[in-house]
Amino acid sequence: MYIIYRYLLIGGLLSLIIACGRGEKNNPSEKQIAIIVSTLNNPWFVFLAETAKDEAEKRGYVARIFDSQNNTSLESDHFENAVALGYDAILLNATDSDGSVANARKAMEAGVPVFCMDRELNDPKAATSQIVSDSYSGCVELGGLFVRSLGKKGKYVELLGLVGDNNTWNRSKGFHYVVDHFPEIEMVAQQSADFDRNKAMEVLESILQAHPDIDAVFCGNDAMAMGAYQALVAVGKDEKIQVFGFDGSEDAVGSIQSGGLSATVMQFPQKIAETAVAFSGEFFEGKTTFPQKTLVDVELVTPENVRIYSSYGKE
Amino acid sequence: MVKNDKGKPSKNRKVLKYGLIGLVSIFLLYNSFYVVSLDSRISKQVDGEAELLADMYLTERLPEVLASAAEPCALLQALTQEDADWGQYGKQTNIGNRYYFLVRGEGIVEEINDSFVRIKFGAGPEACSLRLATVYIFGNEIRDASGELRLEDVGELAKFNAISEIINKQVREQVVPAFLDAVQVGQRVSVQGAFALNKRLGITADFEVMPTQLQIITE
Repeated sequence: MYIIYRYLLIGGLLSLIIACGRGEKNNPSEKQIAIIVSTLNNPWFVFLAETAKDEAEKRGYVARIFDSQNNTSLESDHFENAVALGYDAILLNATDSDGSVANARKAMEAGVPVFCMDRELNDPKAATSQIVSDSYSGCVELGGLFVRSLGKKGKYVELLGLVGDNNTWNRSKGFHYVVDHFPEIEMVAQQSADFDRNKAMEVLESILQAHPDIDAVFCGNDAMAMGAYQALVAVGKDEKIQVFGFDGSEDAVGSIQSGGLSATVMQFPQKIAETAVAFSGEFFEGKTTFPQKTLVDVELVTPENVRIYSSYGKE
Repeated sequence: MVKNDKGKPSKNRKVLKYGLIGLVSIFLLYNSFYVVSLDSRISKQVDGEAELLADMYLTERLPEVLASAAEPCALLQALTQEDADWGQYGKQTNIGNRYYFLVRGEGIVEEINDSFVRIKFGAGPEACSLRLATVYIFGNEIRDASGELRLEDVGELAKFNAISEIINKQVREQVVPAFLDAVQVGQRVSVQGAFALNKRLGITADFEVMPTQLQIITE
């Protein structure tokens, strides 16, 4: 008798574990959203993912964040799991504009809509819709400020983001489209620091040895801008060399307020995340056609107007 | 010397074998890497379709909309009204706070600066003055203010941005230089152009109009 009770207890526990393992969906009508994010190592993406999760939960959906750690293979596993576990929509912040296409396609082929947040996929058919910041225009505006700040003359360094990400090139192209028109402004070095703060610091330290006479550093995101600024502080050149970033992260906004960074471009991850969740909701209600790409405005943040902005464009 | 059954020395056969393996390895290794310079990514050429779209926009669709563009002072007056619906007067292409507007009017040249020309429109208490960009002609104002050329019509973001570059280049090379060569303070000029404003910031003192057509009026 004791053995029968024991087996019944074990069986009950196993059933409970299996039921829990079938995903977070308790109510069959409750929609599940997988938020697959490129990395949670950068606070900007943490904010993007958590805002999307909060917004999804506010609308009554179940949401879970998957961290791809900037690794396309890991992202592929997340897609396979999301499809296998029966998620109803995927919000994707891609690791690579080309490399993530196959991953997104897997979900699309399985009938799961994919809404891209912030990072573009190079194949429009690989996603239901893509909601991205207007990085190019933001850097055109930043380029204008850069030229004015330098008095149309000087030497600078550009730190690029991840080479496989379209944002890296949209930002760089927008910036160069303006700055390259001024022949007395010379780029002495251009190097990738993978959107990473520590790497940016190391890269700039090494560039400064060959080019100690630069006037400015343009960085493709705020994490790299903060790393570059740290490198300049270490050699006592932070007041002479101007640093420009992109994102509107908390430490960049704080740095502009305290006289550190010269400017950044504010992105609005909250708007991106809210739009992606809203699109998912429309899909659940039966909508099938969405704009291929939706652009979200970005805004230039300078010491003159920084008081009206909060980090990550929170409103 | 020891020879194999085909009469070739075994040493030569080894050389041939390892040589072939080496060649195959080099071939595979060469084709495993795809090296592109960073510069090549930046200077990726726009395709002819973008040029065609930009040209069609500047010569056909934009002039039609510009013909009914607002007079600058009346527009600014309307935008400064409390609770003004900026969408009624301009276009909003993205999610956010930026609006694009078209203007046309005649005014008097007040100031010629090294990066802009200031024009005074109207007279008396309703007069206003605007900066016309002459150096920093970069942006999407001309492309987006008419609402006639949209990202969804063009498809690719890169092509959409390329159209903006082509339009700006044409303005910078064909509209501005001839005007700057002849313009003088006090002259009467006819202006058509576009500008952008951020509703969060309101009407700032330093916003600039990107000109699409500039003409000095000689009487």
